[in-house]
Amino acid sequence: MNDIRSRLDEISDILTIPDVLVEVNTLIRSPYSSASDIAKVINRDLALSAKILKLVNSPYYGFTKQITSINYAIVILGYNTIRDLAISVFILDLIDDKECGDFNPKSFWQFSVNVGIIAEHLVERSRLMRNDGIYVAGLLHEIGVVILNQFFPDEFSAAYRYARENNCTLLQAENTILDFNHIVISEYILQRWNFPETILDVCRYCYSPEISKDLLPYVIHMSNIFCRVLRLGNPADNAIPELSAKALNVLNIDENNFYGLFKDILKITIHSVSQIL
Amino acid sequence: MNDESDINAPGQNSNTIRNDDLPYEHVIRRINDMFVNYSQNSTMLAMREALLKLANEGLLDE
Repeated sequence: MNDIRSRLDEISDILTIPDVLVEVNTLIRSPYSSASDIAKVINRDLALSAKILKLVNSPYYGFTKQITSINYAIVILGYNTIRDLAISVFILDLIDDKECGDFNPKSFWQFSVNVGIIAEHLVERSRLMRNDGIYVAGLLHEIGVVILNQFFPDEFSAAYRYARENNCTLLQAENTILDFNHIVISEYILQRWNFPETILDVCRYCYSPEISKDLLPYVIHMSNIFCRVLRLGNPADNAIPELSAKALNVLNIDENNFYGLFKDILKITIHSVSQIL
Repeated sequence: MNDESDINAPGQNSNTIRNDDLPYEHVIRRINDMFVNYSQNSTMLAMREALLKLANEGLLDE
């Protein structure tokens, strides 16, 4: 385990979160900051602002007129969405295109984006909590998979193959054949990037939300499973994790209405990476 | 009611209906495979039924 920690230390020195993202996050939390304050910070990073505008103008948002300024994008979409988009850009930049078998990292990114979108929808329909940071939790909850693929290719390849051959989740495969798993990686990296404890809890407990005292792991657990069964991206295995029965109660989901819920989800999620890139 | 030529894949000239030729057959097979370990779990079975209904309506990505 010490070996993995020292390797993760080296990796987190390489994968630093950009200052601009830290600054944007601080400004969004401040009650005194304005849209133009945030736009000024984002505009300092030309590559970031161009990529955010590309996402804002993607077919997913469906604006008829092109949005050409970050300031205007913030006014239309709101602070939190712009923060989420900035984090999405950062994560997308992080993703290496290194494919392993039929594992495509961009398709995994599509899966993570959809988990975020579904999570926001579930929270909205259940009126469970404030809809803040939920998308980011979905986007990042299995970031360890991407890092595993990129920096531990032999281990990833072995676990990926094992999961396919044994029809189990990647996590079960890792726990069987490796002495660490992608949850440990997600937790470690996000801690180094100073993400809040609520997001770390999602990484820790999204496969077993009953252990958590928080509600967010239930939301992401359910979204993760819905995303898998609806095949909205590639989660790196073909199995469905064991469903927490309590998650249905917490999220006020009636199992007789899966059909209606799935239909709603299919309308709001992205069905190919090209929809958003 | 469709006749057989509607059901067979374009270019095929068969008088029999093969399972492979039914619309969304591979999506349905994939759903059944996905839930193979959950045949005793009523919630998962309800989820499978909903997915099969969506698949039969052509609403699931292939």
